[in-house]
Amino acid sequence: MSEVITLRLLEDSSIHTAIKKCIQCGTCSASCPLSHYMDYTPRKIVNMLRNGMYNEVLKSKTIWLCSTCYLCAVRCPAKINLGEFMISLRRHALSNGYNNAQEYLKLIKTYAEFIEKYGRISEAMLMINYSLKTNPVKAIKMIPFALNLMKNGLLSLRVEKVNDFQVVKTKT
Amino acid sequence: MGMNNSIGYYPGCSCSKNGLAKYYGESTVKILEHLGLKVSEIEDWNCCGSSLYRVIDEKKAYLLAGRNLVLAKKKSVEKIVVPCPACCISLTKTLQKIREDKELEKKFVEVYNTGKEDLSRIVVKHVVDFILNDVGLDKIEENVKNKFEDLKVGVYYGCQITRPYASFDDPEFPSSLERILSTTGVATIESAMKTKCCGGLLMLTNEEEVLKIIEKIMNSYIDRGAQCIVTACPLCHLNLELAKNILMKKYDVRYDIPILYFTQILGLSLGLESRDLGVSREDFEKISRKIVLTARR
Repeated sequence: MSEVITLRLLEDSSIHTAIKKCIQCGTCSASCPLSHYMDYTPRKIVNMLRNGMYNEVLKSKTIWLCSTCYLCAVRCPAKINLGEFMISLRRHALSNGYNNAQEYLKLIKTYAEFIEKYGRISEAMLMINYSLKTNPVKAIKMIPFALNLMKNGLLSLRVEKVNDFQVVKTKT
Repeated sequence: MGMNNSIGYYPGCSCSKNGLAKYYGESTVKILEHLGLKVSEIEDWNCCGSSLYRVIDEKKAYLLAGRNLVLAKKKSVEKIVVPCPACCISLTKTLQKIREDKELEKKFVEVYNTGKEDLSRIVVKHVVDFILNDVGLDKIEENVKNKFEDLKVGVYYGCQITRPYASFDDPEFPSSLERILSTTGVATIESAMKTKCCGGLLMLTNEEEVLKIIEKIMNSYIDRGAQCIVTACPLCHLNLELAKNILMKKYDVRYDIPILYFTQILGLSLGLESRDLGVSREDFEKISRKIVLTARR
């Protein structure tokens, strides 16, 4: 991994804070509803960064399995917001081409397309587009659920377009 | 509630008229109107960006969420009521970030001609917070027409309604919803899993893991006799509905209980029509036997 990438990662404020303040108590890992499914627990991820294992962190399943429920954040004795920390790690993984979380990346891409085109999203359309891209068989299995939504007047395939929406074209 | 015209309403994509939680949004607006509060939807609002857009571009994500604050400010809105906890987090976090981050504030001035001083008076409130602490239980009690008799309601908060920025209730063991629902006569069912995460968006990417979590959450209510489960989050509601459908194929009727928004139960109690609240006929039949009309003094 190049020095520039490493530096950017370490300068990200939520990552920087975690590396600096974490006391390695493991409260985050014990609180996490998804830590059973992770390859490294959240505590371990912080320790890995401290030990320069940037590649392993950005390649990990862990960073894509956080559901940002913030239980770790409210319990952390060092007051670190690990939810934000995980979002930041995802951003660095995405911008540096780590594409081992294909499903999540497809979801983000579909989501971004809606925002950039309309300024709003339609969950129904998002779910349909995403399922067709990733798992068409599952999309077919969803038909009864979709029909039920339709029966209850909930399956709108329309998205309203936001007027005067220049923000997505802003250079940041 | 003197300054009614300063209350803005931000539905967010889920609770808007094309969203899957349309009835959460509609029932929220209906009960607030019924209680005499005029809330006006922020015109031309856009998606808050949720946690997803921050993965793509952090600064742009704040500009995206912040556009709604700028629109509210232009209409002199000081309080924004939001039914979706995730939207609440995006908007609150953006306000917080503008205060702390000079560079971001500069960008806001550049793009929107609006700085932190302009936005500093805006308060973002989840609708549970607003109903309990701004409208107040007295006002609700005055307006209750129907009481539910012996309806056992599982109260499921989900994770983001009280975490990490909200300060109106305990982040792990909140009681706001129970207090609001106490006016309706229902018996609320406690669960140690009431603020356990439903898995959120991971339902799409990691269905197998998420289903296991939701099964446990639903069991924690059903084992204690819950006849319906109420939520205050569009994503919790959707995930529970999706899981219910899958679990019913596996276990039949055990999971066949209505998943409702707390505003629907409250609305029925205030005497609003089930169809105006988006309560399906099927769900209404399951809970309506428990409604008794309370004679007004």
